[in-house]
Amino acid sequence: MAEDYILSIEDNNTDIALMNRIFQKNIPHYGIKHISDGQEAVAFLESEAFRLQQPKLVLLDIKVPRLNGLQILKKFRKIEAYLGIPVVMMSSSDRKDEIIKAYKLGANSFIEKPRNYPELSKALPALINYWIVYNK
Amino acid sequence: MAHGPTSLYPKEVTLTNCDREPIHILGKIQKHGYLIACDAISHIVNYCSDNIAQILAKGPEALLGQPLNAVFDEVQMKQLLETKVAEKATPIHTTIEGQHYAMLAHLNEGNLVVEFEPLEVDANAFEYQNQLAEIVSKLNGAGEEQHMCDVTADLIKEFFGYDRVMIYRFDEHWDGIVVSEARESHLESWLGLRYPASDIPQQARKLFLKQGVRIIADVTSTPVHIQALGGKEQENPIDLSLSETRASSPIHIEYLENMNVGASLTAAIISEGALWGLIACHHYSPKFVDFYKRQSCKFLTQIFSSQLVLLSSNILLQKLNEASKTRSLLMEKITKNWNVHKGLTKGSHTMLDLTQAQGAAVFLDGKLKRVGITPDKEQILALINRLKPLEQDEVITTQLTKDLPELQDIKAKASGVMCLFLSNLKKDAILWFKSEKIETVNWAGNPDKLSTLDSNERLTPRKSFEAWSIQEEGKSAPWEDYEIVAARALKQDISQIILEKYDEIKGLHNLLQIAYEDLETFSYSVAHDLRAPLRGIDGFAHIIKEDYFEQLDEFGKSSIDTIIGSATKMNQLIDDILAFSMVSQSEMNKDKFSMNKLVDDVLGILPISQDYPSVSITVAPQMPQAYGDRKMIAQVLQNLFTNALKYTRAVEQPQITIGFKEHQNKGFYFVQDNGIGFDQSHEKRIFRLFNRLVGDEYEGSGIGLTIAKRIIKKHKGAIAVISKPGEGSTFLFNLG
Repeated sequence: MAEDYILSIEDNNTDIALMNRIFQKNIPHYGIKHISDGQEAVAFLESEAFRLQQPKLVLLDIKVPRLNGLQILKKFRKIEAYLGIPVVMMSSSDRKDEIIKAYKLGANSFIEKPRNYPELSKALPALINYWIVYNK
Repeated sequence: MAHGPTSLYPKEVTLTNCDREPIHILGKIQKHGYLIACDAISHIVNYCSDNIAQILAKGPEALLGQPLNAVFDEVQMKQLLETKVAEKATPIHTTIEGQHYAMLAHLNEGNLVVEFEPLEVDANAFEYQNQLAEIVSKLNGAGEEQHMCDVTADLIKEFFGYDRVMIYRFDEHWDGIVVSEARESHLESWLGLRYPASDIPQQARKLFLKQGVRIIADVTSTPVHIQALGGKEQENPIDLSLSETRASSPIHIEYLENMNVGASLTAAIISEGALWGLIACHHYSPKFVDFYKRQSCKFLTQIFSSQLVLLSSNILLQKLNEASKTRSLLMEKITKNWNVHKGLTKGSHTMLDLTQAQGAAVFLDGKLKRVGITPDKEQILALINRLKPLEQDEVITTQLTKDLPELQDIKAKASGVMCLFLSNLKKDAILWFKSEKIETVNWAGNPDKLSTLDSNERLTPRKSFEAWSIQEEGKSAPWEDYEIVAARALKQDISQIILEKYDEIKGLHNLLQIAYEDLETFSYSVAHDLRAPLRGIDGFAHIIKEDYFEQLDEFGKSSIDTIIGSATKMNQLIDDILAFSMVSQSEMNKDKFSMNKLVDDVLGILPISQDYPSVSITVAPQMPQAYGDRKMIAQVLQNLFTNALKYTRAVEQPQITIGFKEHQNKGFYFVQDNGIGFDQSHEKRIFRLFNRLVGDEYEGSGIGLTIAKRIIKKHKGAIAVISKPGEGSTFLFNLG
């Protein structure tokens, strides 16, 4: 794993494959680590390994098995030490209630997963770059 | 019950002179009787009839004030003192100067009353028993009511030897009708004649209930006066309610004299505690029937009464049985398709079969259905509106227009009405109608001149009993008990069914609620789960295009573009389906807004300059303000604009006009284009889901206009289109 990496919590294999491709093409200097299960994700977020090697950004899908994105976010945002790590929520729908909930729980950004690949390949790197630059 | 007054009918009590006449304290007995009475406790004689000396050898002067044991011997005293209240003592047989007498004692109002009347001892007791047995068996064999009456009349005539025996039945107004008659052949028949209620006034009817059989032995004889102790017969008259020999009222005697009757016997026919009728016997000369024979008559009458009850109970039971069968058939029909109206009024069995009515109707949920001969719909509704405020569960009448004269117009078809309301609050009801039955009633004498005042202002009964025919209008046949019972049972059944139906609807509503919630989840899943694979298809097609395009031949290249195009289309379709389902689910957020502003906003987000550079769009500067859900109306506008842009693309100078105008006397916003248009006959089709009039050269899911229509419908507004092929279309809408 590269030193600078993005943590992606996402269970959809197609989306994972697409993201890998986009990272590789557009932001090759960042590594990407995927976790596809909610509880696994929380375990990792609360682990020593995570504390020692923190990601630049967390991409968090709303719909993941066992614990959903919002539940994961709630737990994650309780850890004060990590408040500086930006979380970008992703969802396939633009349900207002979910968006509001996500922001209330401490998400930094929310994107509806773009319909097509060209859009996705532009939007995702842009958003990641923005938050990483902003954080510096 | 098929006879007699029932509690269903109002009992009209008209107080006449006769009704007020205190016939039980007239202070006189008939000539054939003798009376002595004493105080029940002190046994001091306090009343004597003038003629008592004929029996006891001493006159009233000697007897009054004496103790009773000075009059009767020890044996007689013992028997007399055994007399109990409300019971007639066994008669004591005494013989005085060769004459046989029955001594009859009873207690009444604190007095022990002792009467003497002649006894006929010549009758053969054995033969008498035989005769009675024969009568009982004949009565038992009589199958139906009329036959029973006829048999009874004949038997009584034969047994007692009166010139005329009539069975006289009371109707619901206490008028009496001669239903059966046995008479000497030279007498004219009175069968079928009706006697007004005043002929047998109320207190006479009361006395009949107390005392089963009464005779007047000699109408023309002078009654015997009763003297009281201390001459106080005026202030303190003796109560003769239970007396066997009590004299009749002068008015009644005059009444009988006017009919030339010399003697009479009257027996009360009591059915289930109420006076059903009378057995009235007339003799045209004096006639005495002794106590034992009167007891036989009482016994006979009791048998007759109980047979009558049995018969009518059997008939009632049979009718109820039939009605209950009909009811289950009706219920089966109703529950088959949950249609109460049809179930009750259509097909081979209807609610009409439950009664003898000519017509019936059911009014439920604002809908009226009729069967048979009934008033027309408006008339029935007027009737219900008239009856409902009476606040009665049911209204049952045989003379509707007499009770409610304003309903004169339905007299012919509905003089008889039985209306049962199904609920307290609503006007829902089931009704049956009986037609007017114009009846010729033969009164015994002119009922308008039942009595006249004589020169002393005294009421005297009518002189003529010649049959007097009257046409009676505005009345129907009576409502029989079984009809009323059946109607009430049907009401119960229907109420039950309505309740079940309500539960069912409630159940369906809950299911619908669940279905709606499912739909919402479903829509969300569609958004989420359909999008991801689509992103894969689109994404990887793009990846191939980016990295491997040059390695493909022409067909391979066009195939990649087709995949990407299809994915785009699919995404659009998902958007539309979601938008469509959102319209029905979401709550409306109504407010006033500027239509001009909204049109500008919507035009602003459409890629017009990019995709439709040649179109010219005109917006009327001052459209009226709108009131509705702005976001939803934005969706309508977007769909209409997208349509207009799409179908003007092929036109040389595409033009779209947006404005407001009158159409069929109503204001409409409109979106007009000069595009390809369509045949006006497709107007309805164009708003249907997935209905497309054009081929694939025009992209679209066929949902946009359906969404627009749904939104407008949700606003209770109207949407329409005017179109002509090649000339363009104008979509019009308003928000109600």
